[in-house]
Amino acid sequence: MTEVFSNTDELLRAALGADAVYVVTEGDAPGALPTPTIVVAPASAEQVAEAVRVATDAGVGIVPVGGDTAPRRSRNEDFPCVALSLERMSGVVEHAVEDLVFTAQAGLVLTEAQAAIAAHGHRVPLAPPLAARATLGGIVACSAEGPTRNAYGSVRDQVLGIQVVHGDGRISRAGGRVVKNVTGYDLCRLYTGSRGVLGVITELTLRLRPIEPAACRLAWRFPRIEDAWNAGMTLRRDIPALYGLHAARGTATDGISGEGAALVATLRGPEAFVEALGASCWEHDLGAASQEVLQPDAVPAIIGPVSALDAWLRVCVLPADGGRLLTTLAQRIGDDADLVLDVLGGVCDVTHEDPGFLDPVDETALGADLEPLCAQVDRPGDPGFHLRRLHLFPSTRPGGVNVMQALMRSLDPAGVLNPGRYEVAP
Amino acid sequence: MAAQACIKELKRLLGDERCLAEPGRLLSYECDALTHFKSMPSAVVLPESTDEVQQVVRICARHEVPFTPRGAGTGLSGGAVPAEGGVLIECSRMRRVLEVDVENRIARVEPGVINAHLSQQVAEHGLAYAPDPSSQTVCTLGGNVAENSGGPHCLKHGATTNHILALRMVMPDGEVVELGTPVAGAAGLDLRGVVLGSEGTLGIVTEITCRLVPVPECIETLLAPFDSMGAACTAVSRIVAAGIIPAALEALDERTIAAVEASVYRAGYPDDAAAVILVELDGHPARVEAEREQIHAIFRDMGALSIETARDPEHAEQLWKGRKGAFGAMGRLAPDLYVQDAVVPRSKLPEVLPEIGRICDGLGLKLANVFHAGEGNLHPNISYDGRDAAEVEKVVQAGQQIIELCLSVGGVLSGEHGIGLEKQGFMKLMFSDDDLESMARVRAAFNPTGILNPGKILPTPRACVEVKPVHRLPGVDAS
Ligand SMILES: Cc1cc2nc3c(=O)[nH]c(=O)nc-3n(C[C@H](O)[C@H](O)[C@H](O)COP(=O)(O)OP(=O)(O)OC[C@H]3O[C@@H](n4cnc5c(N)ncnc54)[C@H](O)[C@@H]3O)c2cc1C
Ligand SMILES: Cc1cc2nc3c(=O)[nH]c(=O)nc-3n(C[C@H](O)[C@H](O)[C@H](O)COP(=O)(O)OP(=O)(O)OC[C@H]3O[C@@H](n4cnc5c(N)ncnc54)[C@H](O)[C@@H]3O)c2cc1C
Repeated sequence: MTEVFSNTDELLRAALGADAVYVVTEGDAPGALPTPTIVVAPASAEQVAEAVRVATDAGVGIVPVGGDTAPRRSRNEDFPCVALSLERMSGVVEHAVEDLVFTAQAGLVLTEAQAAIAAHGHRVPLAPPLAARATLGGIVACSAEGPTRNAYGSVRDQVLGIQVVHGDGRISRAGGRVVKNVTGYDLCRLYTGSRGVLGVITELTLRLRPIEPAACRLAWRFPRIEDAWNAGMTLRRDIPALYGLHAARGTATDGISGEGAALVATLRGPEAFVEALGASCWEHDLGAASQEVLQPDAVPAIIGPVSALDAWLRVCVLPADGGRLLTTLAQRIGDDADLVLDVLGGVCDVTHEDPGFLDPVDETALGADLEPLCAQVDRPGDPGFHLRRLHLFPSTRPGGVNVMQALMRSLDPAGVLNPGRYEVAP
Repeated sequence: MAAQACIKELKRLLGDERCLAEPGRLLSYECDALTHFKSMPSAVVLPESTDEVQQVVRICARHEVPFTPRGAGTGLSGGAVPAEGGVLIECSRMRRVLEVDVENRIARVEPGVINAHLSQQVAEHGLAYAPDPSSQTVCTLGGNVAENSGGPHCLKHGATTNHILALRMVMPDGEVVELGTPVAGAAGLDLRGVVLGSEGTLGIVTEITCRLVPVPECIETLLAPFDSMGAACTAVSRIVAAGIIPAALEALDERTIAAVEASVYRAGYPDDAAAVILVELDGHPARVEAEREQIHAIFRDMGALSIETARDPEHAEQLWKGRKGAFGAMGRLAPDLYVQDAVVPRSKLPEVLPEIGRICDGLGLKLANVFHAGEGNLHPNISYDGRDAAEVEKVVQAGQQIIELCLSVGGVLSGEHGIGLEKQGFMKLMFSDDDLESMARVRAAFNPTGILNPGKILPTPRACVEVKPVHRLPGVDAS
């Protein structure tokens, strides 16, 4: 450990107390940081602020860590960092049962949040991968969306209120605890998906949804995923009330009898509704090789997309471009990756048991093919996420890069939060 | 003078017809539908393209003349009031629907398109634009984006921000940027999300890509009168707690019912009721049926005087007429009308509404309530006579007390009308200095010189705004 680091360690202990700081000397350090790594685990927003100030003064960066499920790719090594773990900030602040509103500290693990509210028939409408470890703060920081997007909306749509600690140690709140609010700028949406570069999220107020009384899944087998997608587009047109609709190939279809690709429709709601809708889907002639009713929780891969985030690529297109996307992926990535395409949302998850499966892919050629589709590509955990990658796909480059940089400069003046996370391509 | 030189250049660009600078032609632009705040622009320009907006902005920026975008001017918080001597950029001439992509259910439109016109234009494809502010036959989508407007059907379908996918925007220095994307997935920071509801202070929106929704298979409209507002509110909060999300869940009180029934918006609401609840369910017929049964049970349990179901679309329209025309009807009761817009947690409605009644009774003011009950979004309306200074003073007091009450139960200042000039002074009641500092920094990242729509949202020293409050309170045009 360098001088700077051991010193930081002491400074943090002095400021936050000995029990709030530890050092990981070997094995996997939090936030994929090199060992030895200092971990500071504050117990309150005020302590987070204190830690941020100490780090800033010491010229050390801060990597917020929630469940640490993020893929372990290399980070900006030039900037020494400490890990700021939210492990001691995992309390439920309030479950406003009658209002379907939930407030908790950012380090609360999603499945624990679900367990805390399930008795009241409520759920947090988030479905990221690895929900048993991922924290509310980490999910919101990455806007980590899953297959419930069609039913409930995006992660941003669920965040009603937020507390963050900025890079200058200021603590600020935005939003509130009500479901409708236009009081001041909507910073909840800005912080959601900001990947920790504008502030450390310390508390969240989320919208809840009732757990639907009944659920059902129907599956159809097709020779190729393109056929499953085609059939899916027919269902999308004819049956508007589906909860989810996914075309899949590979291990994602395990648990469905038969061979090849599959289309899976998820229905949720009052019992009579699920029954009626199920019947209309069942009777719809989609030209499938076979069809069956699944247990609601069968096909876990479709419910929560992947288990190994390292081997994962997500491509988003307009729903009607799903077929063209599948053709492109077949050409550029090959036929052996697992695919799950959310037919309603145009979101395709590509996964593989080999984390190196993307290495031989010609990214330039893939980019050129995806460009006319206005595709958005997510490769979770890429260092220098987004802006650098967007350079690869100019058509998808969001405007306002100057504004993004100005925002980062003004909310994190010393650039200590997740340094190198958002960088503009050279 | 900078303004004169600026106007000269603007006239050269747009001609006399699209650059108004003669005092007589400017009069109707000095305020929005909140007539409390007035301020005269030095010119009003009517650009017809992104390119023209960009040129206008560059001219103003060069001359350091502040500028403010405006849609139809139906805003209720003073957002479109120009800075004294500033230029008003009215976007109503940019009213083309540029593209309707039926298969992907999206539309690309200019900001001057009127809300209701978009739904009319896409109806032939079985699609609609969901957010439906009561002003929808007049207000523009640009104004809706800037206010993140709501409407009765936003309970289930979400407010404007949930329906806007991407924006083209002219920045305060004239740069044109594209924010957001029509596809899922989040590229970079969500600047689109920040612009929604930013009341024209971050940029001038010149193109909007929005989501369209399939017209529901089945719609059912229910009306239930109650003999007390308390019971009606408890029914609402029980519907919410039961996990039912109707398309709309609205409430009207006795005074509103009386005003509506005495007006052209007559809807046939029972005149002996202390409150009526209007519910709309939409979606798959089996779902609508299941939800209707649950709601009937709750209504009966809470002592509803009756439950009426619309027989056909005409009858449903009739039942809605009273709700949609409520502001207009109340406009007839007194020369002026003050509309509040606070939000409270839905479970607090039964406790807050009587308290608001007591506040107004205590001050001897006439209060009527019509509100988005399912979201806890209150609209206490106070009819008054703006010529009576003492009464105006009481209305101001009531407004402040209502806000304080709503905040004390965990509520917020505004659910859909925005902060604008009206509620800036209350921002400190809800937010700390650090909270406001973050907002100020975000604004400065977009609008560093503050030349675009100055003096809105954040509390500012009034001196640099120079908006003169006139001796009147908010009035809503009854038309
Ligand atoms: C659509 C999608 C996009 C994703 N994009 C990314 C991505 O860009 N980068 C990535 O690492 N993972 C990404 N993921 C995976 C993601 O890490 C997890 O799904 C989710 O963040 C897990 O939460 P966690 O608690 O395990 O977070 P962690 O793995 O602990 O942290 C993930 C990231 O969020 C930051 N973070 C965590 N907690 C906080 C907090 N309280 N305040 C501020 N920042 C915090 C971390 O610094 C880190 O950058 C994505 C997943 C999905 C579905
Ligand atoms: C009778 C009545 C009923 C109403 N009912 C509702 C309701 O149910 N729900 C609701 O939410 N509101 C309601 N309103 C308020 C109002 O109609 C909305 O706020 C509406 O969105 C304003 O649109 P506008 O075109 O009139 O905008 P304006 O009033 O002209 O402007 C509003 C704001 O938008 C900004 N702006 C306008 N165009 C642009 C642009 N192109 N780019 C950037 N900024 C821009 C302006 O600067 C200003 O800050 C009602 C108003 C009235 C009078």
